[in-house]
Amino acid sequence: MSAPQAFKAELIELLPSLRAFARSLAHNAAQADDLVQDTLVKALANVDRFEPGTNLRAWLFTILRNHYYSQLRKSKREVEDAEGRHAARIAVRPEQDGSVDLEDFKVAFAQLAPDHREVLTLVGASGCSYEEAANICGCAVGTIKSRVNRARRKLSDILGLEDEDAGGVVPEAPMIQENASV
Amino acid sequence: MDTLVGRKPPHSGGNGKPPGNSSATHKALITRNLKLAFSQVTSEEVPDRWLELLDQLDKAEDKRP
Repeated sequence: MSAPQAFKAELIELLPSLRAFARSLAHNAAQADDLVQDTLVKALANVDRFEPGTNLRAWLFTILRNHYYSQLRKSKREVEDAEGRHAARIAVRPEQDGSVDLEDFKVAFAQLAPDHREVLTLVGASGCSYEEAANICGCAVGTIKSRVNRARRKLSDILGLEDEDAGGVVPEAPMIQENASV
Repeated sequence: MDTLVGRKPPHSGGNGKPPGNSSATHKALITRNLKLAFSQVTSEEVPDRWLELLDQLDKAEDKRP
């Protein structure tokens, strides 16, 4: 298989996950598909810049992400949920037995900020490592880790998942110094 | 030697459950739903227009001397 054929084959294999990543950023399927289409056009135009053997997924995801934020800056407006329509569609608060309706989950997920949606999708769903996600998002690994934690907490809040451990404030144990004089 | 330096005290949060249980459950729940939502999209059929776009790679290769 020639290099372009191998590139094409790998690219075709990545299309579904590229689409899922786009869907996590864009709020509707049509916009997400346009995002993928634009990403493909850019990738093909810059195929000579891609180094065979390197991470094609990260390369494509980065192109898609950059394009998304570029469009966002141009439009100067995010798809807002000012009227609380998404929130209102969560008809029933999930039970605390660990079950959440998938549609309710999607509605809650859509309420997250784009940077939270993207890290959760990259790390939680697409199987990216923290390092790969950091590479795609152009930030430090530590930033990705803390962003994932914040995104999870925010999503838990939206879903109404109460933290049972947060019932009482338990102070951090004071550090006991070894060899401290008593 | 088992030292107490820097160790947080064990606590149950007053509900008798081990600490961190609920957050671990929430984390698992979120991950499970993320993967479900992701796999729903990845199982959708890829549009022909994308594949047609990628055919340009073949054409570009064919044009090479």
